[in-house]
Parts: sequence; structure tokens; C-alpha cells
Amino acid sequence: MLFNSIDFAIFLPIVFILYWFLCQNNLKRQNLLIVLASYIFYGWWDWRFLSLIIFSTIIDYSIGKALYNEDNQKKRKLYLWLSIIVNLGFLGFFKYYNFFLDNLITAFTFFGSELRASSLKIILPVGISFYTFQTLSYTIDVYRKKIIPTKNIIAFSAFVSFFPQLVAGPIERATNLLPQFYVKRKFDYHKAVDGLRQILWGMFKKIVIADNCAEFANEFFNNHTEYGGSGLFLGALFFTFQIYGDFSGYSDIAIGTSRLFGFNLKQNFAFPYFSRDIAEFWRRWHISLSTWFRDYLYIPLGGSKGGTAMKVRNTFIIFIVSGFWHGSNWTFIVWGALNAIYFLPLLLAKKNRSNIGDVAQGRLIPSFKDILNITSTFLLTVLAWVFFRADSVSHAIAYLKVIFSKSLFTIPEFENRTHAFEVLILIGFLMLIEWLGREYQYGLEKFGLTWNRGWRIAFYLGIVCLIFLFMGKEQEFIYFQF
Amino acid sequence: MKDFIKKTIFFLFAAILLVIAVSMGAYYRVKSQASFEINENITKLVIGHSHSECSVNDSILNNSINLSASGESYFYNYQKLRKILDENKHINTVFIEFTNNHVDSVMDDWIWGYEQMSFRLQYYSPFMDSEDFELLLEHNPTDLLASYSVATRKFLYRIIRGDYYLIDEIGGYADARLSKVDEIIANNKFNVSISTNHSLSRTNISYLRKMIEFCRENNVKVFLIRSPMHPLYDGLSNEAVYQNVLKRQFSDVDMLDFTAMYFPNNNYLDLQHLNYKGAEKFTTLFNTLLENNLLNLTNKQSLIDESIKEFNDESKPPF
Repeated sequence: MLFNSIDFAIFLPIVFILYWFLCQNNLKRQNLLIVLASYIFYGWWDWRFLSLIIFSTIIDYSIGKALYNEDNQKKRKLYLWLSIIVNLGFLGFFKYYNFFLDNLITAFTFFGSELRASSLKIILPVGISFYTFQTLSYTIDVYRKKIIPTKNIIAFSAFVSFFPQLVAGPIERATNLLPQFYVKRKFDYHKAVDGLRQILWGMFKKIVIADNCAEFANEFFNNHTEYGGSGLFLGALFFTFQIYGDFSGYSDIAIGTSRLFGFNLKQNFAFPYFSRDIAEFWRRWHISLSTWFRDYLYIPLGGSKGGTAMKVRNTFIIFIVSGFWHGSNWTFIVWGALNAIYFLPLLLAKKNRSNIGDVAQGRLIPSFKDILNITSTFLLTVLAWVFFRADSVSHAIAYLKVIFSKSLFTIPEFENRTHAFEVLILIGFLMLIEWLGREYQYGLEKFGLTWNRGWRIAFYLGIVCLIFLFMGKEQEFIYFQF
Repeated sequence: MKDFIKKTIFFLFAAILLVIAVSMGAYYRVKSQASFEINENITKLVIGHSHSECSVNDSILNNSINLSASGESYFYNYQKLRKILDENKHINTVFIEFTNNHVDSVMDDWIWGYEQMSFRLQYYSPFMDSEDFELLLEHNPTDLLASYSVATRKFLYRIIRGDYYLIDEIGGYADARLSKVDEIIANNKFNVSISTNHSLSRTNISYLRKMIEFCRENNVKVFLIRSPMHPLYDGLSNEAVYQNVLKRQFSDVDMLDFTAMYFPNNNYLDLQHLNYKGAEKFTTLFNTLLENNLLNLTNKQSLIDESIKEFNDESKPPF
């Protein structure tokens, strides 16, 4: 079920009413309804893959309990590996089987041998990368004795399948989300209103920004040979905002929806395009994934401790694995590696934590230095996104070659320029609101709260109007494919 | 909680009202102000999709206007025809392009597919009947809402610009300067433009019937016309199906068929369409025939065939 669909517009109020009217006084019923609603939400796409989630839930629930009851370190390690193998096994099969097979065949061919094997027609279960990482974090945390495993299978099932964040995150940690299923949720008016506000802002980002940017990004990337450097740069720029609007919009809707049901999810995007260096960008972009890799991969590998070679190795590993997590294509690996290259100079110069906190805190206008830093970081990410969006590495290189040519300094010629101009104005509006709200959880959180109530409602109605006027064909969220 | 639900419903109600007010207000403004008036010298109207858009140069065809539009099915042609005939009583003859892909099921997507619907509704939705809307709603409700939002946005721009003259935007002769035929043949790029099983688009065919009836109700002479196409055009593969529809459903309408007219490759834009060179030759021939009272003769196609034969004998074959 898509958040931006009629189905969800019907589903959400029904679940909300049932949750607060029928289950308000009973924790078990609240959790059961969450599980049931989540399974319907997921099964709406393809009910067959529900079995994967249920299997994953049972395995990790059982392993969690076994880990807790076991003192023998060797056996505990064995349980942990069992969970890792099962979870990553599913992920590996559904997401990476064909990639590895194709590359193996290519490698054999390169060395003059022939490997006879054919790819499988595998459907990638929606959200598998997200819920796999979520359940893995649970078993690893139990193994590390950071949390006590739950004895409540319903609460654990709700934690694994919680529908607002099931298919595209934020990837929640058991330490934050699971305990919220242990206590009965009470309706909080302000929390619910704030949730609705965040949903509205997420819808704006997805429908108005991402879907409209997609039209141009697709045109430039799919027909890159027909355009000059300025056009292709514009295409990359549109994709930069498409992916931000799409993914951070999804996170906003997920977090807002959770708040309607009395849950608090962690912030997933903290205004990343206002970052002053790449290290800061990665602390602000897809925070739940970055911190996951930091805690469960980077730090166990040694992190930034040790010699230069160790630091370089660990940086490349974490960025490349993070890139590969996004998809089974070399483009994502190159995208990850490129970000590692961006990041390394900061790490080696020990400047990777020089920009902590919000830019221009307490001020409306940033300093000239901040503007320069934000612009240069933004441009670096725009170039990196070319690899993320391109169909292949050669496609990305051909695309970038044209950008870095004389034609970059020409006026771009393409169809529907008036609409492109409208979209650029809307991007300007998005960035303005986000800039003004950059010290909060999301752009619209406090915007207009001090205004007269009538003006505030008029402003929100204006956003609804923009959503209606710029609504295009219903588009899937990009991160569904991951 | 009740307060929350009450306020949420109030907000949603206000939002829906606002959206309806904006869209309906813009809709009625465009509906009341739109103009489809054409110069009074014009007595002939050519209507259809890209084939006639590229083939009939209305600056050569006397007293005519070509309002064919690329990708436009009969469903939208019908809306256009009604408005034009309503506002231009001086038009006494309508030529409707009727070619092979017009009967094919690919036309369904030209009617309720998002791409066409989101583009056409900005011009025609204010003039559509409820049954037309119901048809779109029945086949593609989700995209109809999205398309209507695009149309509303365009209405608002039109209102801001104060530009309600739609004739400039709803079609015209396409002066195609390129020729891609040699490249298509050399690279073997023969696009498939009709369904493989040659299934019919009953909706599109029914709207052709509506167009014919509308012309007759308004005492306007109506003819079907088929423009020249390259003999390698894949759409010709449903010729038997096409002829069957023509014979069974439109035998009461005069057909002017020019498909036997051939040109050198550089007179075609691609395998489906003529370019400006081909259009000039075709329109000149068509105009001569009309000047020679073709429309009032009983053996129209015989005269056309004779003229085509003469033309083909004089010009080079397509290969």
C-alpha cells in the first residue's frame, strides 16, 4: 500500500478509529491491531511475502530468548550467526543472487572459461532491506546484552512489522521502538496534531516535489544523449531533489503516522542539503541507516581508531556496503566509493566532526563561509547522485562527461520548460521552509505556530491546494525498490 | 480525542471545499470564456491525429483549417468538433482522418491513459458531457483525478493570462522538416504501433460514429480520409480488420483513401507520417481534386485512384 494512494487514505482512518475506540484500554488489543493492520498493509502489495516477515519474526524472537538463556559464549555466538545467516540469507537471495551470478559469469568469461547458469526471475519483496536490518539490530543488541529480549511475541511482531515504517524505514532500533509496545498508548492531542502536520509536509515533499522532479529527472537521464551539459546538470539537480523529497517525504509520513498512534520514531533526515561538509551530510541523510552501519559495522571493524590504513579501509568498507545495500548494481557501489573519497580527507585531517550542530544557529542568514561550504557540499552530492540514478556506470560516466563540457554554460533546451520553472519555484519554497525550520525535527514543525489560527489554517490549506494542483500520476517511492 | 477528530474532519472538509471551489471556479471560468472561433473564410475542417496533422497543409488546401493533433483519439476529436461546429456555422465540410491504428485497441490508452488524459483535459474537460467523464472514471479513476489536477492548474494559468482562445493550442498542420525513413530502415528500427492481436477499440470507433452523427445533425458534410503512409508502416498489418470495420460500420460515409500514393523516402517524416515535402504534394493533389468537384461525384475513389496512379507514375517509388 502506498502512502500517497486512495487505499491508504481509507485504511489509515479505519485503523485509527479502531485503535483509539476499540483498543484504547487494552495494551494487548492495541498491539494485536497494529500487527493485523501491518500485515494487511504489507499483504496489500503481495500477501505471499508476508510469510518472510512472519518467519523472520519467529526466528529472531526465538534466537533472542535463546541468547538470553545461554551463558556459553560459543553457543551465543552460534545463535547470533544463525540469525545473521537467516536474515542476510533472505536478503542475499532476493536482492543479490542475480547480481552475483551475472558478475561470476562475466568473470569466468573474462578469464576464458564458460560458466553455464541462468538468472532467476526473482521478485524483490518490498521493504526487505529495512525490516531485515531492524530485526538484526535486535538480535545483535541482545547478544551484546544491551537489551533484554522480549517475552511478548505480539509486541515483537508489532515491532518488526509496524506498518508506518515497515517498507521504507526509518530503520528503528529495538532499544527505542520495542519498549513503546510494552506500555499502553494514551491519546495525546498535541502529538496527534503534530503527526498530521508532519504527514502534510511529507505529502508535499513526495507529491509536489519528488513526483514533479521525477518527470524531468527521468527525461534527462533516459535521453541523456539528446541534451547538453546544462540540461544534464539540471537533470541531476532535479534528481537530487526528487530523491530527497521522495525519501524524506516518506520518512515524514511514517513518523507522522506513528505519532497518530502514540509512537515516537527517530528523525531520519535532518536537513541534509544544508550540510557544510560531507561528514555532516552523512550525519543528516538517512540517519537510521548511517547509524546502523556505524554501530554494527564501522565500530566493530575498529572505527576511526588505529592507523591510517585501518581508517581508510574501514571508511571504504562502510560506504561501499552502504551503497550496495541500496541495490545490486555497480552504480551503487561506485556511489558509495565516491562518498568515501569525499569523506576521507575530512577523516584523515580530523575535521570530520568540525561541523556539529545546526548551521547558522539562531540566525536567519548564514555566514559567507557557510554559504560556500553548503554550496560546495551540495554540488558534490549532486554529482554523486548521478551514479545513484544512472542505469550503469558507463551511463553515469557518459552523463558526467557531458556535464563537464563547454555545453554546461549554455541555456538548456528541453520540452515543458514552464513546468520545470514552476517546479524550481516549488523547490525554492521547500528549501525556504526547511531553512526556517532547520533547528527542529521537520521543516513545518514550528512554522506558523505563532500566527493567528486563521492564517495558520489558511497556510496549511494552501499546501493542500498545492498538493492538489501539482498532483501527477501516482508514483511509487524510490526506496521501495531497496 | 473527539476534539481532534472534530477538528480534523473540519480541516479535511475545508480542504475538500477549497479544492472543489478552485477547480470548479476555474472550470466554469474557462467554460464560459473559451473561444473556438475561426476565420469566416474557412469552410473545411480537417480533424484527426498525427497522420493528418502531418499530411494536410492547410495553407495549400483552399478555405480550410487543419486542427488535427498528434496523439488525439476520437474521444477528444469529438469534443473539439462539437465546439468548433457550434461556434463556426460557416464550416460546411469536415474531413475526419480514419486510418489503421484508429480502430486498434492502442487507442484505449489514448483515451484514458494518464499521458493523454492529463494533456487533453485542460482543453476539453469544460465541454465534456457527464457520460464522457463517466467513461474515463470507469476505466481509470486514479489517473482521472491526477489529470484533473493538471487541467485545473492549466485553467488557472489561462485565467491569469486572460487567454481563452484555444484554436492555437488544440492542433494544426505540423510542418515536419526531418526525414528519418532511411535511418529507420538502415537501423531496422520498426516500432510496433498497434496491438499484436489487432484487437479493436470499441470506444474509439463509437466516438467516430458520434462525430459523424454530430456533423449530420448540423448539416455539415462529413468524409473519412486516409493519408498516404509508407508501405513499410507496421500499422498496415491490420488492414483486413480495418477494412472490415470500414465496411460494416461506416459504409454510409464516403471514404477518400490516399494510401496508394507513394513518395520518395525523403518525403516522409517516418513510416507513418509525411514531412513537409510529402504534405505539399499530397495537399496539392487533394486540393486539385476538391476544386474538380470531387465531393459531389458518385465515383470519388475512382477519381482519386486515377489521380494517384498518374502521380505515382511521375514520381519515384519509395525504395
